[in-house]
Amino acid sequence: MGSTAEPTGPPPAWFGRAWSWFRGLPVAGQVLVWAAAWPVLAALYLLSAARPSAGRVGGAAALLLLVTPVWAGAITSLGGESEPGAAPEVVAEPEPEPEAPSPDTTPSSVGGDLEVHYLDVGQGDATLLLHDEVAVLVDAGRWQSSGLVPMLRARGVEALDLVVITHPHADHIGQFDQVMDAFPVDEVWWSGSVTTSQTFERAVAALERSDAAYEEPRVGDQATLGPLDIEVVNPPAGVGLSDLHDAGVSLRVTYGEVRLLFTGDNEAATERRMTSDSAAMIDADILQLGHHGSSTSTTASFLSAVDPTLAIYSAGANNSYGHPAPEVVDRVLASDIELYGTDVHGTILVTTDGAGWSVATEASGQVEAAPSNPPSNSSPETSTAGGACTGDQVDINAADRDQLQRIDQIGPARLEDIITQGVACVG
Amino acid sequence: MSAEQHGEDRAVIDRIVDGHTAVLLVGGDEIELLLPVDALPEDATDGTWVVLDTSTDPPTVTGIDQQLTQRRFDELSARLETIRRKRRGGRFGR
Repeated sequence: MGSTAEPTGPPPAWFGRAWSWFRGLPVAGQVLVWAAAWPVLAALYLLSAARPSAGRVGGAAALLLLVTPVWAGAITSLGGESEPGAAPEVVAEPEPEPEAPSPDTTPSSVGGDLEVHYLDVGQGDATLLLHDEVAVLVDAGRWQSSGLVPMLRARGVEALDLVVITHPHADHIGQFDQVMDAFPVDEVWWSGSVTTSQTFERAVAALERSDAAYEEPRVGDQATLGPLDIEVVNPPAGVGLSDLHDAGVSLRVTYGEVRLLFTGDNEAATERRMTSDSAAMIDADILQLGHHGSSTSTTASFLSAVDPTLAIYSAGANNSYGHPAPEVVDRVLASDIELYGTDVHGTILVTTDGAGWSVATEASGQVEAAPSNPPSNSSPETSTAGGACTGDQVDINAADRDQLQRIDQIGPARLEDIITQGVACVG
Repeated sequence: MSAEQHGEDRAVIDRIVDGHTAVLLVGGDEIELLLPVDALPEDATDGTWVVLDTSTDPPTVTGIDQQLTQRRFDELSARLETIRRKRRGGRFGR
């Protein structure tokens, strides 16, 4: 039921769905539907004969019924365009077509373009998947802002078929309440994890006010929304919910032959589980890097298993955490994966017809692996970990085993655990 | 959740980033405060409410408000459970 207000005048979502359904019927089925429409035409004709005052209405309705498929076909073939001014300004070079589908692949039956807006919401996440037939939001930005609803409206969103919150940290669930109050929402997916912040409480209250369906999807669940096929790749059923990142909802969305993977803030241990238990479901063309490009995520083995052509991360410019981590940027670029980030490019728009895609960005720039800078401090009210080491402090980026063991709670056993985990480089 | 007395406030640990930085949301306005993890009590984790001494710069965590943490966790768990129960039988048949 999600719909968009496109200036080019695409048909309403219900009509697009009906038209897609009609086009998908075999010829015999289409003839049958037309045959069934004739009694309606006859009734309209009789109405116009019996009540001359209604004649104009009946005649117009009959004519509309006759010409509607022709009109709809023409409109549908136009596809949707983003609202002027809302679309990113700088168009990057078109991405080369992803690897050609194997000869036995069923040809794509999708119509029109899918737009994937990786919205620049600062140090948080919010991604809009927009098609004539469906609108899906993955995560809802930071709690300190009210910018998400205007961003969605500027892109023509009037309703959302699905809102997914990967996990309830305030940089992902932040404006969920505002979104729920601003738009009709059909369905909401949460992980089921509970936290105690007031932001989370506002989100729960918004769910209570809404009549949206509510689900806590688990690995193996699949859904079809219009032309989108959605597979749940995390969390598995029965997983503990107290680790909010580990229990976060991860999805693979398939449009035609293009697959997009969203893993929220999943970290290395979760990536390992997905790689071992759901390997067939994480292969994707376009990967949103986990946890804003943090060093906790996008391990070499996970990146290899996903094997994307394009990677995108969402992070705030000059954020306090040093995201994206230089080693992650290096790993991605060394794998010949094209990389975009909202801290550099602003909002990033990927447009796909289900076979290839193009990328447009709000700002020009290039993500480069920077030297390991200390995280900057974004607020006078905050203090951050990191920074230049002084005195007897241990530089954990350069320390050897002996130096690391000077840190409380890192003894020989803990150090071995860290090394075994395989996500830290220890000299 | 506003200041209970001069120089003291409550904050919730929203998340711990990369194992070293805790993101606290302070007071009713949920002002962001970043602290190194080693400035937190040992048992503190996501969702833990802490007592904050705001007279220092940066503010100092002086302890965990266990009662507030548990009360809010129980209340919000119960409210989410009600949502689950009322809207059972959705797309995935649970």
